[in-house]
Amino acid sequence: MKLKKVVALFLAVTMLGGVLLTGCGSKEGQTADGKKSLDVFLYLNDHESEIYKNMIDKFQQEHADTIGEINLQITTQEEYLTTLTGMMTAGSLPDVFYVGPESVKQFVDNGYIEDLTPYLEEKGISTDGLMQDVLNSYRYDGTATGSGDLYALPKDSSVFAYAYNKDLFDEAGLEYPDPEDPYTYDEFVEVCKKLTKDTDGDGEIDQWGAGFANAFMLYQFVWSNGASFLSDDYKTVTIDTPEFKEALQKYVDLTLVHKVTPTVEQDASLGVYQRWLAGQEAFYACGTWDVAAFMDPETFPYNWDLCLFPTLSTGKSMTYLGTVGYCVSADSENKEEAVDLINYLSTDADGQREVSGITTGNSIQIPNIVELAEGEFLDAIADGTVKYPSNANVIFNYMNGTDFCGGRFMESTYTPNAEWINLFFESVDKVKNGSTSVDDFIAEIAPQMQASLDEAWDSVS
Amino acid sequence: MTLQRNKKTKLVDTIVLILLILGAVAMVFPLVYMVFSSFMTKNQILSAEFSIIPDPWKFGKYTEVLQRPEFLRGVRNTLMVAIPVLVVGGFTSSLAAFSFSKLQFKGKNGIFLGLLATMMIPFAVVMIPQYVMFTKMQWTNSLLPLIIPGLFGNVGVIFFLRQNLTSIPSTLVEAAKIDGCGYFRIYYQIFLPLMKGALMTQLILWFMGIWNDYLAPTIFIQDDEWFTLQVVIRSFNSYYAVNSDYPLIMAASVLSILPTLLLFFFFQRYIIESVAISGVKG
Amino acid sequence: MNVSEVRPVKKKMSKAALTEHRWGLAFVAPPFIGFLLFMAFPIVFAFVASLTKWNGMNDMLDQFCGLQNYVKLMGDEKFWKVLGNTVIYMLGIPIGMILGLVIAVGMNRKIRGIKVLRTLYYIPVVSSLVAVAILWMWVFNYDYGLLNSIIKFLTGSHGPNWLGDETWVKVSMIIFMVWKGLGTSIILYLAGLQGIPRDYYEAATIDGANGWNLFRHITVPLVSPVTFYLLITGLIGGFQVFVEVLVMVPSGGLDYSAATVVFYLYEKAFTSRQMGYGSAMAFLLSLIIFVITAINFRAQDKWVKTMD
Repeated sequence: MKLKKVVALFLAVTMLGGVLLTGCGSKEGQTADGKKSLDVFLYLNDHESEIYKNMIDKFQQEHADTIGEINLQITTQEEYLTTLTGMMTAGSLPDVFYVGPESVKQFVDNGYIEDLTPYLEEKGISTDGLMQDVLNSYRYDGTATGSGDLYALPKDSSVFAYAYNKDLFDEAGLEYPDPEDPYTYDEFVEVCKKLTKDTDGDGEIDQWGAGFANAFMLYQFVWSNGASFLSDDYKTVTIDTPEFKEALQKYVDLTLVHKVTPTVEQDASLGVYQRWLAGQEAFYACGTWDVAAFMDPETFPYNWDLCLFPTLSTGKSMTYLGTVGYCVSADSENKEEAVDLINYLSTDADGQREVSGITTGNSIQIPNIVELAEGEFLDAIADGTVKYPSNANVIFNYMNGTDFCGGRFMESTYTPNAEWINLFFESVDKVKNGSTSVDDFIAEIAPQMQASLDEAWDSVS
Repeated sequence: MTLQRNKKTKLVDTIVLILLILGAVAMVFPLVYMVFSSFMTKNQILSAEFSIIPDPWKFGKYTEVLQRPEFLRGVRNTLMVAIPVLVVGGFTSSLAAFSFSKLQFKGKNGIFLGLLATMMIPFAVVMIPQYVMFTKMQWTNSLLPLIIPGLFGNVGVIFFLRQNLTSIPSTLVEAAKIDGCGYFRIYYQIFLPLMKGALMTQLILWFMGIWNDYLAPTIFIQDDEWFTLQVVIRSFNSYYAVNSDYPLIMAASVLSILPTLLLFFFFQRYIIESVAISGVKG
Repeated sequence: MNVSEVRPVKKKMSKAALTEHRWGLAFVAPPFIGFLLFMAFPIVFAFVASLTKWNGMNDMLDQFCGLQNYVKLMGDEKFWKVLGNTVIYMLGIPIGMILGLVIAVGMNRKIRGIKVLRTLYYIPVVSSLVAVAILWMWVFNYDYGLLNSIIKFLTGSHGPNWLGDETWVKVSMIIFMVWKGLGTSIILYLAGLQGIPRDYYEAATIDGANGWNLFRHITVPLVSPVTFYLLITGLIGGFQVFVEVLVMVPSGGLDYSAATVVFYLYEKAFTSRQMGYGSAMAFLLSLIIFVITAINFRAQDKWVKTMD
């Protein structure tokens, strides 16, 4: 009799704890008063989350008669995929979340995301005003991405451009780089040498021409030399070509031979990003999402502007583009409302004015709508309403492509996972610190990368 | 002869003491440095000159940390895990220890050895399945993955308490039975008070374990609303390193160490004793 | 009458035993259920998962692949590398033991203030692993770290790239682990030393043994149970080193030179989503731990002495 009591007590406590902590489960997709509720899961940085929270609040107020509640869960970019996989394993996906072009195929094949095409047609939503290259990366025809039905609307499209510290150029008495005529490699080396110096006379270099974070800077060299990490079908690793090796050699030479960047050891004590913020580097890469931070004198108290990455044998300056899109869960109870929300976030003109800084002054992305981007946005930059460096057209040139520059997605955008490329960047510092030659390194790492890539493709077939 | 011997012993004692003090200074020095650097300016930390004493002293980083909502939430979440686990888990563990030590039942040794063997199983092997279980049960947006397993008791605590009870004569049980006491009352009224001291020490150690745990929370908790303190500290480290705000990172780390350190200072006699016993008798 | 009086008593006895049996079982039920739910079931699950190419999204049982993951593991250079790193880190175990024993011997004298010192040595043990790992990451910093500042101050030349170099990173991790765990071995050895009767030493001294002989032939053998305990717990823990690497060298180090087995399996399972492969690695790891622990228990008769 008492024994039962003890057991019952134990069970009761366990259960009670469980119920208290999970909260009483309300009916899926609905609030207590019968209105719809939406769960949204995104990664956003601090600047972004403030703006996006406001936008989502505004959307909910406009639809207050049908939508009772929107739960926004925010995480970091590093944690995002792990958490999302957990949600997929659990079978509890939020109504709206991000998908990158690299995951569209996998998510569709496993039945996680909804085809948006019928909803957009039914609602009469046109996507013609958006940047088509970006939009197409979310299309999937059942075998490959790039065309077919649309599975996501872009949250943004980003460009990784080059930036230079004007104050350091002035100090050295150098002419600013031409935003429409990229440096050749030799010119770049020359300029960097003039910007690399010991400013306080203690015998150690404390200002460099440039700072290179491998995983963000090597692509530009490789592509501009006509090389690529992968073959056109993204199934074969092609880093053992002479063009690739030459690009890598020239990249590491900047550190080892010309000594115009911090060494690997110096990079370990203070990152290249921190050194740029401290005014120790004349050139540094700048993503469209960095602009608001670099324009903020608290973060970066220097004058700066945008320019092009140096060129190698092709003479064309190259960089990479990025994008992430909003998709709707195939299990969502409220797909109609979810589509309305992502349409608002992706294509609403006022919303795009806000995120691009036309209304707020702080830009975290380029407007998704082409007309807005190339009209109002550029005007707002010109008249100073948006805090932006004056050479903003560098970004548009990269995005649209010109004869002297162009942009593309990273190879890993098209592969099932990025492990194969991580193998490369995990150990490329061995070349950059001079302990291994380019040839030896490639001979060692290429087969490992190929094996990893084969496995990745194998895992989705 | 004796005098000489004494003199020699004294000399050796002094040398030993000096060496031990030097060792202790080396052990504590990094922690002292951590405290000092939390009062430094960013520039002082990032200067190539070697300096330990803050110049000037800046106290603002502590207020800054304490004003971060993530930090306070981390403390709250850690306590929300610790309290139910210690109360319920302490109860179930001590009850089981009593049973293993003083009651006769079939399969006793088998069960005990089975439980003991789990101490050898690496967390890595159960980490993936537990992660799957907790996500399937949709617990990962709460603290349940950290709380529920603890409620069932802790093998280490059971083992230690059982050792502790062996010194108490089993005749107490018989005597109580003759007096008409039920088994639960025997545990509750006789043995629980007897193992109170040992149990308290174990609970303090358990609390330190929960407070310092990083691996389980980082794997099982997906919603940042429910991050425990250690996870928050780690994310501070990656977040503020971008702006090289090392004083703030150090201040947050100091604050996260402080509670366990205080507990240790207050209860060190019991803690050290119980650690020593587990090694010598284990 | 007599008979009927005896029988109930007999029955009562067995009934009492039965009651005790039931209560005894009920009292140990919570930890036992916990063991089934959170240990036994997961282990079976991990084994089944290790036979599949499950990625957490697709259906696990559809992905059955037999022992393929284990075969692949045998040929996985990275796995052998991280296993090697893990074993190298275990050099910290004997280093910690020797230091711990020497310090404990020093402390086992009647000197005032010893207790304060004991407390100081123990502080790292109770400090949060994440916080002290963050601290040491900074101590090991190439240009601005405490260690290299001191080296530069003393010798005038620049110290090594502690966390960035393939060899030095291992030295750094060992230093860190020894520092973090030293307090435990000191306290355990101290307890062991205090259990050695004084007359053992006195008798040996009369026989003409010097200090080293006493240490070598009395102290070391008589604290061997503590050594054994430290060895077992050190090995079990050593195979599971992870958080310190994750915090101090989040990339796994240049050319994966700092990564451990659990670091690699964490990346495989949770970053690359190869849950099946990760499970196989986890299972192999527990097998290694099991075998090594078993060997140790077998071998303990050869060198672990008891007082009696």
